[in-house]
Amino acid sequence: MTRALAADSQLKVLLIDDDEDDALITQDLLQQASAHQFEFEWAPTYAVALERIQAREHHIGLLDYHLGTRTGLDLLHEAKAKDIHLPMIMLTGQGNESLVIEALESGVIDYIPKRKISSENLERAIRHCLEKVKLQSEVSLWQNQLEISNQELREKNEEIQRFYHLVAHELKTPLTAAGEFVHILLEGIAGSLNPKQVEYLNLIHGCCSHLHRNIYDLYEITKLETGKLSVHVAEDSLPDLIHDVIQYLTPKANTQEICIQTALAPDLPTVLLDTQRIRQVLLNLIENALKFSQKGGEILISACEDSLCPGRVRISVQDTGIGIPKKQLKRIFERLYQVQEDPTASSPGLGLGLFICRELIKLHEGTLSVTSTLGKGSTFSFTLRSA
Amino acid sequence: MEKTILIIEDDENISKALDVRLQARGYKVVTAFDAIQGMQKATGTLPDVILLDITMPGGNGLTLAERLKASTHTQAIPIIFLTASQQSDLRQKAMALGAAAYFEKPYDFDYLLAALRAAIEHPHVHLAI
Repeated sequence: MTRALAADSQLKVLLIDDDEDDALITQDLLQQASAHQFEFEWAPTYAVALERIQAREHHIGLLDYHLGTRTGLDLLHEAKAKDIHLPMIMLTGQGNESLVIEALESGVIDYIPKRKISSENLERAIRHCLEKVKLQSEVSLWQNQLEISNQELREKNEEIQRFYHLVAHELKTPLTAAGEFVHILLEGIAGSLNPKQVEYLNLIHGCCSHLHRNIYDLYEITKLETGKLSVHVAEDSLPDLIHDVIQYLTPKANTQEICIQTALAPDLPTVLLDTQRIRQVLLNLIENALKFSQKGGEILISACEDSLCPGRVRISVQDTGIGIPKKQLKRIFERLYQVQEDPTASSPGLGLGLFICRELIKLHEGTLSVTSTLGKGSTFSFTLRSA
Repeated sequence: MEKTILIIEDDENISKALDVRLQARGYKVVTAFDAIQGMQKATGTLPDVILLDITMPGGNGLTLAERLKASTHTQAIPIIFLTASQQSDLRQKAMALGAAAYFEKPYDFDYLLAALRAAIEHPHVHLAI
């Protein structure tokens, strides 16, 4: 630590020089300086200098290179090792540039060749030295403050993550039980049902699934925002994954009388992906396509090597749905954004799905993009690295 | 021969629903509502498979699984984890403990049933679901 200087106090200067004549000259020059009043102390030897530095009573040191059999740099190193950082200006009779560089690297703030020493440049060097120390101290203070703020933010992030984890757990548990009892009724375990009862129970089941998706998305968002969302990529076959997702969504598509087709290149290379995460992206994109398509619509899922970007595979989900207005296209991947022609119309979902998809594709070092024509349909495409 | 499933789950509703659905499919079901009771019933009944929740009072499911795998009486019983948590490291920890399968709530009952059947018929096969 350096010693702080009160506005009205005298500057305490420690002159470390084994030459008495030089010490007297420097003292004279300091006394001639007009802007400051200096309180001057002379340390004629290495040992005295070290003792006086350790007392931590001075604001600045003027250091000669030669100190008997030792050097000023030795003194600097020893003081630094004792965690004493008195700002130093080196006064040297040497014209050796490498010595000056070594001194500056060792923590000397400035230097004045003895042959150029004058009252003015001595005073100016001291002033610059103290200003520099003050600035360094302020920078250090701000760095510490920044580190504390960062630590607080990290802790806050952890806290948010824990809270959302708890909320997700507490919401999912009763939701799971509710879904299970709906199934018990649907399976007829508790007695036979009439068609209306079956219809209403299926509606309850749909609501449970929707609520679960929302909880899942909220949890994913917290992981994204706290930097906890990660992917674990491995080589995998894209056609298998695509067919698996289509198989899962076919009953839903059949209900809506929407046809899902594929156009997968026969020589498709294996790709690097996190299977669960890309399944999540495909599910989201195809479910969106189903959501915004009308009865009798078509969805085409295609995959081929990206002609514009070698070493990558492009996967597209194309629908014949309502399309997206041009002005909304660039905002569609924003967090919480929902496409709405009519602002009073309700669209299911929290508006997090596409944002999460884009972030997941980014984590795969790919891109997710969209093209659309209003009234004709949309195509969402993303790229993955070939293995 | 009737197969026994031990459900160790602190949520009584989920436990009850699983109990009803599994019994309807011809399984004998034993239930426990915390880790301590779970250990006692596992040792006492030696079920064919254990359905084990992770977040429970009286010690979490992972710790209980470690104890079950360390005991010579229960170490061969396949364990299928059920959890409402979405923490990816839990899945890795569970699989490292030799879990037969791992399901997040809300689970797909048909997949869960398939995993239970597979665990009973092939107790040493592990499914990463």
